[in-house]
Formats: sequence, structure tokens, C-alpha cells
Amino acid sequence: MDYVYHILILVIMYAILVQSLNLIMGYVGVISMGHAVFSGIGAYSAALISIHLGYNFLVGMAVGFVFSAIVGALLALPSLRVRDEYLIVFTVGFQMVVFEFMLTARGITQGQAGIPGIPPAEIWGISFDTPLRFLPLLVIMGLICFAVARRVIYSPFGRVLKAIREDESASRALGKNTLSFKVLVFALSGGLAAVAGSLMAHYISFISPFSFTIEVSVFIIVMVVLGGEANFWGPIMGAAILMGITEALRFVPGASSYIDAAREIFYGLILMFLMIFRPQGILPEHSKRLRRVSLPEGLLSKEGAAASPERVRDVPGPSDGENQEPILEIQGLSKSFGGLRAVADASLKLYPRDITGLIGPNGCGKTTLFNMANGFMDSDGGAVYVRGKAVTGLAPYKLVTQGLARSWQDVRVFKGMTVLDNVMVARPSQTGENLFLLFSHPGRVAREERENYRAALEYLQLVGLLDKAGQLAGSLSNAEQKLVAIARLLATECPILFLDEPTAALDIDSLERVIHLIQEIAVRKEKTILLVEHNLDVVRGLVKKAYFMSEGKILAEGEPAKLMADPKLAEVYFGID
Amino acid sequence: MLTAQLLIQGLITASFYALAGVTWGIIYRTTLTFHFSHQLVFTVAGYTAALLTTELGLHFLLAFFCSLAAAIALGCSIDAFLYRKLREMGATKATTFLSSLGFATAGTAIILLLFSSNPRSLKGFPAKTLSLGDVFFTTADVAMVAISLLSVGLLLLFLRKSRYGKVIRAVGSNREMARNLGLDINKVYLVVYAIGSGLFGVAAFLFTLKNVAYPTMGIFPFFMSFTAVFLGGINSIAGHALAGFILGMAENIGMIILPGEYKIMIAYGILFIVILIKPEGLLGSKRG
Repeated sequence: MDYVYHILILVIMYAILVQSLNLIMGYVGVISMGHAVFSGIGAYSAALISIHLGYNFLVGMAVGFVFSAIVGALLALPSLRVRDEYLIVFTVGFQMVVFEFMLTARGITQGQAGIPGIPPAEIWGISFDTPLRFLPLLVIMGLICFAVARRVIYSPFGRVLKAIREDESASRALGKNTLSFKVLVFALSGGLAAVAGSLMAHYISFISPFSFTIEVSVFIIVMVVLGGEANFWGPIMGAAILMGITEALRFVPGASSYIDAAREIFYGLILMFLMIFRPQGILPEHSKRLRRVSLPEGLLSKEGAAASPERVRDVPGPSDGENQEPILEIQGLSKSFGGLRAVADASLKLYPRDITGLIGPNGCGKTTLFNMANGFMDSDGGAVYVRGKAVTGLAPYKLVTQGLARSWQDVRVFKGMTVLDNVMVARPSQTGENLFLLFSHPGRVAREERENYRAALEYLQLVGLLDKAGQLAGSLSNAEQKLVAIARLLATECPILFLDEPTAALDIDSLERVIHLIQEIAVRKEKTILLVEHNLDVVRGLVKKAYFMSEGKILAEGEPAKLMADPKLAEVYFGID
Repeated sequence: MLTAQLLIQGLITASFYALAGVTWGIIYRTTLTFHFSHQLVFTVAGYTAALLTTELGLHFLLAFFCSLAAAIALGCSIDAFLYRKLREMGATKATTFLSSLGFATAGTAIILLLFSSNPRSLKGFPAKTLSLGDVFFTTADVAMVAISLLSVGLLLLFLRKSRYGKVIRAVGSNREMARNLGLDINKVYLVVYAIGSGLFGVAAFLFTLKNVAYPTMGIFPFFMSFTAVFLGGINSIAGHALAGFILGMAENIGMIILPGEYKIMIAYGILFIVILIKPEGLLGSKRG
């Protein structure tokens, strides 16, 4: 019977480890090649503290958790400056360095001989020294770890993690400081892995560096992938199946001599073929069924306001310009690439509730100006003011808190998330996006979530996508994705919106719908809009005032019709020589 | 004199890492695939050389070409049968990486199963110890430095001067444009895998000549090769060579103060510092 308990214990221990890696791999989409080492940190902390200091196992576990979390956070820091592939490099390096340290720092780790005689876990004089006694303790610890993971996954924090996985730049454009999310989830992941490691140390009572090799790290990765990335139950599935196979292999006669190699071959092939035939794993993230979205009262699941005849209320019309304070002002922004001046001393002003156009031929510097103004590119000179306050050079996510948000020409919805989540993730200042408040203020988080839910549905109604709320955004048509992006942008509650060619590649019906919608949000939602647009008909229909750009300079400003009537500008625009 | 000896050792390691760096670099720069199975190519090439000279008594020069051929065949097969399929499926970079990781894990274990963990050495090479004053080195060391640097030089020359070299660089810089020009991307990839794997096979032969072949022999050279690529800057093959060279020298000079076990930490430390100061790498350009 002890043997059955033993296997159960291994499965649960690995399930904790796998869930901790799932947080990184499944939700943030970043691969850690050094996860065994995190559990190693936990195991060595547990062993050293219980042997040398004689403290309760919970102390060692806590120390391991904190230590491992700090290391995890440090490992995620380079992603501030470099792409995610570097994290593979750094985690492989981390794995090798710490493994080497375990082998060579004999004074601390006793080298490859390992540390024997780790006392069993003990609480109030009860010693968890046999598999049967250890099992309940492990189940409790496992439940705690899984509850923590569940709380994080199904929270505003977890939603942002998925958004980062789908598109990090788009997440930053919604006001999310993606680096801090990554650092925190790496820390949490490292910490949970250390918990599994410390439990293992007390259970087996012996640890050596060879329990934390790169092969073990790969083994954990295979479990994550097999069970199903970003599925809450995937880790249990993955751990159970692979541990089951490992144990079953022991019963193959004469296997002992080649069992390790056979195991490796098996796992390697599983990983390889899984990626070809079922990359989503056994339990996929999204089940085939549509997620049902229940609608609160007052919302009708028919086509939304965008298509409804209800017309614009009598609100004060767009300003006449000069006698008002500009809400956003760009002063003399410049940018050179090498010798080329992409933008030279460009200035423009946006007035509240105006739709302002920015037009010009291809390559005239519109996009560069646009990117500098919303923080996605550094400028060589010049300044940006929001309501008179200088915001030049602020990171995109900080600009959102100043009230400035952008859309993308290539739409960039979070394809692997539901339409509803796409909009909900954009909601500003969420308590539940703070990993600590998430646990300390569950009531506030729940209240905000109800508000978010309602607000998101309202925006979806506005763009006419209420009936698609439960579908994956990636399954929608291009036109629908553009509408999702608009709803998502509105959900940031920013008063100033930069729209980057919102009508590009749309058929005529969708085009009219989007034009109508833009008018609607400017007036009814009182937004100030800067529209970068190629389609002159769209500009004429929407915009009272446009800036005309060519070769990095703003050549003229005024009514679009007048601008286009100017033969010199028309020549520049249409490239007639 | 210890310093002179370490400098010579540094030169030997540095040449080897420079070669390792460009082999993975040309593949990564062109295909953007995190080709983890590169380590297996190294191991297979090393075993081919060792087994052919010991078991079949082949002349070591003949074994050299056989191990070169084995490396090219394996590298190209991985691209043609695994990566191409994944590309056609629209697999993400992470998916391709994991698949490659799986193949490398299985492959290494198969070698372990077939040949056990006992090291195999290469026979028939006229190994001699030479001296220059108080500094000692072997004929294998000379071969390693000469052939590594020659290979790196030829590769850089090929990429700069030859028509096909320019094609490869164009594909790495702008895939869309290359496709619009009517280039067969799959063919270009195959050529790149042949070059990268072949040269890593050369490196494996030189490694086996100097040391021995064993199942996990590929891991460390592979680690150094991709560290060199990220250190040097993804876009610059010359940067990969330079970074490999610096890693090799630093590892040996570092031994003056640190014990040999810490060579990974030195490489890792250099990479960390460089990325903090210049995230695009030593010779890398900002875009990409």
C-alpha cells in the first residue's frame, strides 16, 4: 500500500511544480528552462535550515519560497530590455550555473554527495514520516498552492498575463506595466516551485544536485505541455500521466539498466510529436463550447447602438478651436533614423471632442509622429502636453493613465482570449491587477469585476458585438476584430484616442459602420480623436480639421476638403510629378 | 608563464567558441528558429568521427568528411521533416522550440542507449605536444585554432561576397521582401541548415580530436554558441564570432582568479552586463 501512496505523493508534488511552471508557460507564454532549479532552491533551503538550525519545516519552506521568488524576479528583469527568446537563454544559463554551484560549493551543499538525513516534516509533535502520514500534509499544501494559482489565473491579474502572452505591445498600449506583471509571476512561480522542492526534501530525506538537472526541467516542461498549457487542471493530468508511465516502466523486465535512457527517449518523443499533432495538450485552454455570457438586465442581446437609429443627443458640438484650451498639444517633435529625418519639428493641437485628421502620403512620417506622441518611440526633440502637463517620453502604459490611448493599424486584438476578456482587460486601475491586494481585498476585487463586466458588455453593445462576447477574438472576422479593438480602446476610459487607420482593409458596409461608430464615440462618449487615415473619403466624412504631412513636415492644416483642393498638396499626396 | 599558457588556452577555446557561435548564429539569424537540436548535430558528428576511426579503422581525414556529412544530413533532415512541417502549420516560435527540445532530448538518450556513457576517442590523428618556450600545446590544438578561424573567415567571406551569401542575408533581414522577390524560402533555409550544421560538425570533429565523444558532449558547446549569438547581436554573424571569441578568452583569463567550474558563470555574467548596457548585442543593430 505504501507504494501506491508513494506514487500519489510524487504525482501531487510534481503537479505543484508543473502548475508553477504553467503560470509562466501557459499564461505568459514564456519558457523557463530552469524550473528544476527553483525547486532545488526550496529543497536546499529546507534541508539546511532543518538540519543546521533545527527549525520547523514551515520556516525552511518560507525561506525557500522567498529566496526562490527573489531569484525568479531577477530572472525576469532582462525582459525589460530584450525579447522573450532571451529568457530561454537566461533560464538555461541559470539552470547550468546553479546546478554547477550545487555540485561545487561543497561547504554549503556537500557537493555531489548530497545532503542525507533531512528530518521529516513535523507539526505539534506529529511527524509526517511515512508515506501514509505524509500524504494528508501534502494534499493540504497542494490544495493551498492550487488555490493560490487558481485565484491568480482567474483574476484581473491573470487576464493581463494572457494579454501579455497574446501581444505584449498591445497590452502596454492599454496601460499595463507588463514588466511588473512578468516579474511578479516569475517570482510567484519560483516560490511555488520551491514549496514543492522543500516538501520533497522532507519526504525523501535526502537531496543531491542530480535531482535538479536540466533533464528534470525538461521533464516538467513536458508535463505542462502534455496536460495542456494554460489549463488549470492540465498540470494534474500531465503529472499523473508521466509519473504513471515512469513507474510503469519499472515493471518492464530487465529494464533497470536502460530505464533512464528509455524514459528520456519517451519524453522527448512525446514532446516532439505533441507539438505537431496536439500543441494544445490533452486539456486545451478553451473548450470547444462557447463560453456562455449571461447578460445583466437592461442590456439586450440584439445589434447594439451602433446600428440603432437612436441618433446623437444634443450635446455641445465640436469646438471651434482657437478660443479653447487644447487637450493635447504636440510641440516640435523630431526624429531621425541615421541620416534620414523622418519627422522634423512637427506640431499639432487637439481640442476637446474634436476629431482631427493626420494625412499625408506613404512614408511621410505619420506613423513615426504617432508612435512618438504615444510613447512607443523616443523622440530626438520636442514635447507632448496633455492638458498643459508635459508627458514627453513617458512609457506607453503611463500615458494611458494620463488619458491617452491608441489603436493599431493591424488591429492586434488578443486572439486567444474571448471578446469579453479583450474588453475587460482594458479597464483602468484594477485592484485585482495587484498581486497582493488580490488576496487581501477579495471583496473589492469582486465588486470591481462586476462593474467591469457590465461596462465591457455596454461597450460591446455599443459596437454591436454583444452576441459574440463569449467567442475567441481570433475566430472573428477582420471587421469584427476592428470593432473589438474599438470597444477595448473605449474601455480604457481615456479621453484622448489615437486611431491608426481604423478603416484599413474594410469592405464598404463595415467601413460605414466604423465611420458611424467613430462619430458616435466622439460625440456621445466625449472623446478627442486623432485619426491617421489614408482613405480621404473617410477623412472628409469625419474630420473638420486635418494636418497634412509630407517628408516629415507638417505642410498645412485646415479643412480636409480645402487641403485636397490645393493643387500643390494633391500633387504631393497622389505623387503626380 | 602561467599567464602566457592561459592566453594560449584562451586562444584555443576562443577560436572554438567563435566557430560554434557562427554555426548557430547563421541558422537563428536567417530562420529565427531556436534550434535546440543543434547540440545533437554536434554529438552525432563527434560520435561518427570517433566510431569510424576506432570501430572501422577509417583514416581520420576520411572520418572528418563522414562526420561533416552526418552533421549536414541530420541538420537538414530536422529542418525538412520537422521545422518545415511546423512552419506550414503556422506553429509559434515557442512550439517549434519545444519540439526541437523534445527531439534533442530523445536523440541524446538514444545515443546514450546505443553507445553507453563511456567516452569514445578518435584514433589515428598524429597527436603530439609542441612547445613554444614554456608554453605547451598539442597538434590537436593547432588544428582547432587554424581550422576554426579559417572556417569562420570563409563563412563571413561567403556571406559578404557571394551571390548566394547575399541571398541568405537578405532572407534574414526581410523575409517578406525575399518572398516577394520569388526566392524559395525553404531552399534557402535548407542551405542555411547545411552550412550551420556542417560547420558545427567540423567543430565537433575538432572537439573530439582534442577531447573525447560522449552522449552529452553537445550541450556545453551549444550553450556557448547561442550565448555568443545573443551576446554578439542577433543580426551580425561577425558579432557572433567576436562574442564567441571574447567568451573563450574570458573563460580562460577568468581562471586566473576563479576555479574552472565557474566558466559558465563568467559567460553568463558577461551576457548579463552587455544586455543591460547594450541590449542589441555587441555588433547588433537596433531593429529586429
